Parts: sequence; structure tokens; C-alpha cells
Amino acid sequence: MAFLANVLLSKQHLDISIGSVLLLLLLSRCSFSFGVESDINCLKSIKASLEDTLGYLNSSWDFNNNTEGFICNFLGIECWHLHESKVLNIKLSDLGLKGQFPRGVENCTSLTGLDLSSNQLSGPLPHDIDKILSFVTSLDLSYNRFSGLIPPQLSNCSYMNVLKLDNNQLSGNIPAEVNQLTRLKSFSVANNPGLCGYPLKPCPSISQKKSVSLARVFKSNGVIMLAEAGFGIGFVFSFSFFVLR
Amino acid sequence: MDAVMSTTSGSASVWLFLLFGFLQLLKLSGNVEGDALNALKSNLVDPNNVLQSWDPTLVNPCTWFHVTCNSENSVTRVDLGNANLSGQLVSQLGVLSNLQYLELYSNNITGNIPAELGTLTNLVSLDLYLNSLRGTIPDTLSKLEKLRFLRLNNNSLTGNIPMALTKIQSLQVLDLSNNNLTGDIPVNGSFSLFTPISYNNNPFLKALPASPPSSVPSTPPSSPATLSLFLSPPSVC
Repeated sequence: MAFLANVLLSKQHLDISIGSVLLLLLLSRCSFSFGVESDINCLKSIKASLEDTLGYLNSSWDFNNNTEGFICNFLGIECWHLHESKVLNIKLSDLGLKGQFPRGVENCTSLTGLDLSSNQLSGPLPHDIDKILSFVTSLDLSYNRFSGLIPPQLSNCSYMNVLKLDNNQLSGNIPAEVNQLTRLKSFSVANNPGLCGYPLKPCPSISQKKSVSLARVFKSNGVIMLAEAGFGIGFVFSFSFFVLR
Repeated sequence: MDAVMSTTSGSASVWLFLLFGFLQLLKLSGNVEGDALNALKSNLVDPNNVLQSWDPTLVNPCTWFHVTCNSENSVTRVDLGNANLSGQLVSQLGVLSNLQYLELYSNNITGNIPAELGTLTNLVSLDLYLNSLRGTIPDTLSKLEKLRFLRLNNNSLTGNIPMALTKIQSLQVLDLSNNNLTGDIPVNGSFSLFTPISYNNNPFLKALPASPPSSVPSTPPSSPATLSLFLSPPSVC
């Protein structure tokens, strides 16, 4: 800010106007006040969308006290700095929470860590999860009841270091790209009954599926053929019996 | 008789002198940390008189406001955030060997970050954010093996981010945003935890690559930086 002040104070009008344009641009990109508004809305939205069966959020997340950085004292909320409502991590593990994945997290634009483990959350993971969790380095959704596919767009979350999806009801193929995230140090997907693909056992492939169904066809055909053969033999036998009599 | 008396009084005075000197030394050594903090006080401008209780004649600084000590009367915290202070930091701060929290954020402190802060091996939190500090980030800070919070954002720091900082395994929160830093952003070691948020609004810092996972190199590409005032989050991760 000091160097901009120098620009404004010295030289001619042209420099001054360039300086003020730069200043305006810089101020408009200053994430300070922007971060505060959206982060408060983020938490309001999370609270609204989740069923707080044990009342933890209800008692701790009080939006009436509006002093600077008040959300930083909320249960499970870690801020980047004291006295500024900019959320760094959300840790809401084991709080008896129900409902679907809280999409409102998208408004916590400076979020790096999300831990919703050991709750009773259900439903699918958002297909556009990379837009919702742009900068998340640690995502723990383990021990819930999430179902459906692992969104392939998770592979765009290139800052991901720790990804825990184990102990849910996820199914289908694990997108290969997710295994290739360059910063990923820990990836757990165990205990998702319908889930397959690396690092779990391979998903049943299409050719395998065909041979299985063909075998079934042959099996059923074989029974028919045997039945037909049996009928034929019986026919010939009884015919010859009657004729030769 | 006189000779004996004079010898006795002579040796007694020697002993007294030695005792006096020893006590003085004791008093001095107990005050090394107080002296360091007093040097800081002398170098700061304190319009709100928050440092009024900082009396260097006391045996240690543990009764001073905004100073916290451990059970051995050694300083563990200095809490001077949001105190309307200006002036500069001092190298003597490096003497506070048990210091864990150095909270000087949200003031108007100018000058450099003393390299001597690198000797504060017990430091857990270094909060110098929201000041007017200039100069570079000393690479001696890489010796702070217990550091968890390094928040230097909103200053006028220049130069490169020292690569050696990636060796600090304990680092959890890094905020270097809103400065004038240049060069590459480290992504190895503990810095794999940090995202563009930590470096926001450093117009001349080379942006972290937002390329697909398979082609992300371990060090950022060497393409020349553009004046990116908008070092903002890309639409994909």
C-alpha cells in the first residue's frame, strides 16, 4: 500500500490516474471484507441444512453476537486469524449430524480442511465438489452414510493431501484420476460395500459380464437341449416299440 | 593484635565485596530477558502506554502486563496485538529462548524482521501480520522447528519465500498474503499443505499452477510471471 501512496503523490495526472485505477483494482480484489460476509453466510447455510440431533450447533453457533471474528469461537470452527471471520477449518466430527452434504460450504472460500466424519450424513457427494471445496487440503467424510459415486471432479482438487471416504455406502468405480492427485498422502476408501476399482478390487469388467451371461445362456440352452434330446429318444423308442410290436 | 585485626577485617571486606559482586551478577543474569524486552520498548512508539508496566529495574519481566512467564520465570508469551504500536523490532528478541508466542499483529511496526528470531527454537506462533514491515523473510526462520503458525500477511515484505521453510514439519497455518513477495512458491515438504490462499495478493509472486493433476510438477514452472493483481482462486481447484 505504501508504494501505491508514493505513485499517487508524485508526478503528473497520468501517473495519478493509473495509480488510482491500480488502487481501485487492488482494493476490489482485497479479500478481507468479502471473506467475512460469505463465511458467515457459509456457516448459516451449514447450520440450516443439517439436522442437529444433539443440539451442539444450536447452542454454540449463535449468529446474534455480531462482533468481528465472532464465528471463530464457534464449535468446530478454526479461523485464519483471530478477530477476522475467515474460516480455515471446519471440524464437526461425531456430533450426531444428519442430512445431506452441506453445499453451503462453498461460501467458505478460504476453507482448507473439512471434517464431517462419524455422523449420520447421507445422500450423494456433490458432482461439482471441486467448485465447493476449491482449496481443501484435508477432507474427512468417513463413517457416515454417503451413497452413490465418488465424483470424478474430485480429481480437480489438486491441493488435496488427505482424503478419507471410508466407512460409507459409496458404490461404483473409483475414478482413476483421484489416485493420481500429486499432493495426496493418505487416501482411504475401505468399507464401502459397492465400491470397486484401484486401490480396491477391480470392478467387474464388460467382457467378464458378457462371458458370465453367455455361460448362463449356455446353461439354460443346455437344459433345453437335454430336454429335447430326452423327448426325441423317448419318441423314437416308443415309436419303434409300437412299430416293431 | 592490630595486625590480626586488620587481616581479619581485610579478608572480611574481600568476602563482602565478593558476595556483593555475586549478588549483582545474579541480579543481572535474571534480567537478560527483561533487558531484551526493554530494548524492544525503547525501540517502539507507544502512544497508548501499553508498555507502562515494563519496568526494567524489576528482577524479571514476569509481572509486566502483556508478558507471560513459565514456572521458571522465563518469558513464554508476548501479547501486544492491536496495541497501536509503531517503531521497529529489535534483534535482542532472539534472547527469549523459551518464547512460544510472539503476538505483535495489527500494529504499525516498520523495519525488518530480525534474523535473530531464528534462535527462538521454542516458538510455536509468530504473528507479525497487519503491520508495515519491510525487507525479506529471514531464512533463519527455518530453524523454528516447533513453529505451527507463521502469519506475516499484510505487510510490505519483499524478496523470495525461503525454500528452507519447507523443512518446518510442524507448520500448520501459513499466511503470507498481501505482501510484495517475488519468486517461486515452494510446494514440497510441509508446504504441500498450503494453497493459493496463503499467497494471495502478492502481485509478483509466480502463481501456483492450476494444471490437471497428472502434469503438476513438484516445482512450479519457470515461465515468466505476469503482473497478476488477480491472484485469485481459479474456477477449478
